[in-house]
This record gives sequence, structure tokens and C-alpha cells, in this order.
Amino acid sequence: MSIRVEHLNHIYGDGTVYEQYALRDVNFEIQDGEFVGLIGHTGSGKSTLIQHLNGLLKASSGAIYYNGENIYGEGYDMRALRSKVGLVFQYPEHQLFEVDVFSDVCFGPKNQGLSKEEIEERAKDALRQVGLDEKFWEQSPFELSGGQKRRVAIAGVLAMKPEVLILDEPTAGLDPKGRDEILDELTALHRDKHMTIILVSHSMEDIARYADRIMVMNHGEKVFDGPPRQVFHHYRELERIGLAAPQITYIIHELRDHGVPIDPDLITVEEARDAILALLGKAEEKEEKGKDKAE
Amino acid sequence: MGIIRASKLIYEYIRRDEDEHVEEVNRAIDQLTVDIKKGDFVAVLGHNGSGKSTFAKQINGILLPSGGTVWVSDMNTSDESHIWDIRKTAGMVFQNPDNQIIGNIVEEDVGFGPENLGVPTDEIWKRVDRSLAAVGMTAYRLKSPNKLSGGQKQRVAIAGVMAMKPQCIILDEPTAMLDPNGRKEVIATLHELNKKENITILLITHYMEEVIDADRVIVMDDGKLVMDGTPREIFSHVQELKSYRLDVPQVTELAWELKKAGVDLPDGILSREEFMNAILPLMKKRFPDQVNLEGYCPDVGTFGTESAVK
Repeated sequence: MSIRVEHLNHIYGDGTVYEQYALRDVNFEIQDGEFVGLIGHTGSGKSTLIQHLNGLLKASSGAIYYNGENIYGEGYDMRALRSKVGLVFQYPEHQLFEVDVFSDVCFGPKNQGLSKEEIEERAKDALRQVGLDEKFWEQSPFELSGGQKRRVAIAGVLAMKPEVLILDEPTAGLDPKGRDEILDELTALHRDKHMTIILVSHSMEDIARYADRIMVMNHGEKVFDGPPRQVFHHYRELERIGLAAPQITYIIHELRDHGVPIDPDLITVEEARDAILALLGKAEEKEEKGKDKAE
Repeated sequence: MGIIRASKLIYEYIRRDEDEHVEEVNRAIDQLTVDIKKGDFVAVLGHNGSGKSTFAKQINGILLPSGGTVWVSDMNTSDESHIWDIRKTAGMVFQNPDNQIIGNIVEEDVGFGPENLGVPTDEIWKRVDRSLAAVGMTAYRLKSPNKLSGGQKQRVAIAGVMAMKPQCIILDEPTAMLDPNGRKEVIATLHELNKKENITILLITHYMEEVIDADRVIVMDDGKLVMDGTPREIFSHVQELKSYRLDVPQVTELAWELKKAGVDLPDGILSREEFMNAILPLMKKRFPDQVNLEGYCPDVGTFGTESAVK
């Protein structure tokens, strides 16, 4: 199973003087079970791109194959595609509307025409997956905190049992702990349910920690695509297109510029800590301490 | 006496049923006492629901205290006769730039505030010129706000507030919806206004890196003020911050982790430069032939001097 995008173009005002490419010759393939981070400055085409993946926007030219089938082919079931590729928009809590949390999460599967038992089963599963305590299920979604509301909205998409989950900045406006909680839950979905995840984010630190692969968009074109370590190598180019690398990347490069023999590929705090401790000869000491404790 | 003062401030969100009986009382601010000095750049941290935004709305009278008092430039916000003067003194900028922009072109949007205040036309144009220059958006004055990036829109929103000549600007997560460049633009603009125009800034944010250049950081939890100090003082308490659902910048966390493992580093490292000043001499000792200290003078590093001055 995969999503394959071939020569995708999306042009606003095609054929007029205002003609503008929102997407230009975008190509990639995402395999089943990948965790992809999608980055790019505001207006780089990220949101436009993800709306193509579940058929909300139609390309001006090019093709998208979902599990080998062209979604623009005649008779292709777009409705089915939309339940397989779940899209969580920015600030999804603005779309909550039901009287209580549980009914809100039931809305998606209800529209899929499932039985009452199936709908409720799915809603319960989805709410548990996002870690929302049962005591909130009967409450109005509007009485919850920002992080809780967002979980309800994500659960609403999960209840449709998507194979691919796309999230457009799911942590914007959340406090650091709330941000980590949501991202950890996504990681669990990815790991335990083998769900394909595409995460749009402005936080390079989050992307470095969670994604296996990064795609970088600039002016509607895909400019980088690879594992985070490899992409963050290009931190100078990333800066030129309005992005940055995680703070750790800069520290590592500055250490190297001063002759410290440290691995240039480190991108998280934990990796940098371990490497610096090893260089300073403190690593063994720490291990020994750990052993003492164990004994 | 500070420009913004709160004394034993309490605010309760009260939910009533159809017959106006009180169903639930939710205390969002609980006995908050704080004094903000004129000209300071103050960052407010706290998790979602800690009372930061409720406090911000108290300052320009969008919400009024359930108990205690708020003074803005010595005007009591509960005194209705002052409400317009208070709003002129303390301007607000919110999270979503698209919700705050109403003009068809940039200069119109910036002029909207002073026009509503009944400022004479000549004076409005002067203020528009000045405000756009202050946020670095003069080149865009005749553009449609729709064509701007998120960071540019937020700078226009800030110019709109500036045009009302406030002494103080309160910003409630102004960068939450912006990309890294947009965030940098907005934060740099705020520091400019703070230094050049001596405008007091109260910045509410979840991004720890935006806080390190502030004069003062206050941390709220459960409607109470729980930490108050310079960025260095606050970020020295990594564990305590984490207990309030907050975080520290990556470089601070790395230094803290290394220190925990026995590396000799000072507390509360805030920037890359400070980190390099502290770590490079240690690396030099291990690898004397390979490591160079070019550009760093550990003895008179930023770290030592600043704390000595304070």
C-alpha cells in the first residue's frame, strides 16, 4: 500500500495573467507505515499538497495513485478515499459541534453508514487512542481545555479508521507538555496500528524527534526529501527558504567548526548529550553509576 | 509604581443554567499580585488553562475582576469612566492575524484604530507612517493584507495597535500560527519597539526560545503566579518548569542534562554562545591539539559579565 504522487501541478488562475503555481511538478511515494514530516514556510504549498492527497483539491495536471489506483481515474470512489486518508486540519477543534464529546466522535462513522454498535465501538476506541479519559465523554466539547478539544477532533477522524492520517500543525497553540502528549499518541498509533502518518509542522525540533522522513516544500516545489539527519545537514539552505534546523544541529556544527570530533548527524538533545559525555570521558562514569544503583 | 499592577486579582468564569442559577464556578485567576515596570519586556509562561489569557484580557478591560483590582497607568479597570483611556494605554494583539485585519489595504488597516479614536486626519496619516516604519512594513503600505505572509500580517496588526499610541502592548501568543521566519520577524519587531519607543511589552507565549531576551519572565499555574525572575533565573529550574507542563530551550536542556551527568557547567545557560563558552574549554582539555577557542573568551564570556552586573 502506498501513496504515489506523479508530476503534480496545481495552478491558480490558469491561463490568466495572475497564473500562479501552488504546486509545481511534485513527485514522491510514501510507503505504508511511514512517519513523514512535511515542512515549509507559510505559503510554500504544504496545505495545498495535503488537500490533494484525500481528493479535496483536484490537481491541474499530474496523477495521484492510492494503493496503485489513480484517484482521478473514471469511477474512482472519492468518498472511500476520504475515509481511508484522514485529514486533521489546523485548529480542528473549531469544527466540533455536537452536544457531547462522544456524539461528536460518532459523527464521522455515522456518515459512513455503519451500524450503531460499530459506530459506538469505533468512537470508544478512537477516544481511548487519543488518551481522553472516560469522564469527559458525556461533557460538552466546548467545556474542555485546548489540548483536550484537539484530542476529540483527532479522535473524530480516527473513528473513521483511516489507513493514513494527515495532520496540519496538530500542536499549534498547545503548551509544551500538551504538544509532547499529542505527538507521543501519534507515535503510538504509528507503532501499534502501523498507521501511515504525515505531520505538517513548523517545529523542527518535533520533526527531528518524531519523523523517519522529511519532505521540504518551497514555492510549491519539493526541495528536499530524506531522513531528518540528512535533510538537516542542509541547514544553511533551509534557512535561505525561511526554515531552520533544530537548535541542537547548530550546536553540533559549531562544535565541529572548533575542531571537536563529534558526529555531525546528531539532531536530538539525548543524542547530543550522549555524544558529548562520551567525548568528555564521562560516559563510563555514568554507566558505572547506573550499575551501582542496579546492584 | 508600575504601569500595570494587579492586587489580589481574582477572576471567576461562572456558568449559569437557564434560570440563572449558578451551576459551576471556575476560578481562572486566583489572588494574583503583580507589578509590571514601565519599559520592561515581560514574558508570561504557563500551560493551556493556567490563566495567562484571562489575565491579558483583564489588562485592557475586556474582562473585569471578580475580586481584587487591576490598575493600568494608575487607572482602575473597574472604573467605567476610564475604559477608553485604558484601552488606549494598553493595546492587544491576538494569536490569529486573519481575525484582526479588516482593512482592504495595509495603511487603511493601520489607520482604523486612531480613526475610531477621533484623531484628526493629518495626525492619523502621521501615525500610520510612523507605525509602519516602526514594524518595518512601509514598503507594503498599499498592498492587500491578504497577500502578506503570517509574520507580515502580525506586524501589520502590531502597527495597528501602535497607531493608537499605547504605552504598553499585550500579545497573546502572537507567533503560534507562524513559521520560524515569521516568528523571528515578530519577536525582533517587539524588541525594537521596546527599546526604541520604550513601549512596555507583555508577551504570552509557549515558545521558550522567545523568552530568553526578555527582562523578566513570570510563570502562571492554576491562576497563580508561581515563578518570577530573569530568564536565567527561571530557566535554571528545569525540573520545576517541567512540573508546570513547560519546557526549556534545547540548549538549556542539553546543558542541564550534561551538568546532571557530572559535567562542570554553570546553571541556566540560555544561548548557543553561552554554551560554547562553557563547553569549549572542557573540550580543549580533552583534545588540546584539535580544538581551537577562536571567537570565544571563556574568562569574560557573556555568562560571567551579565550575572556580575546584576
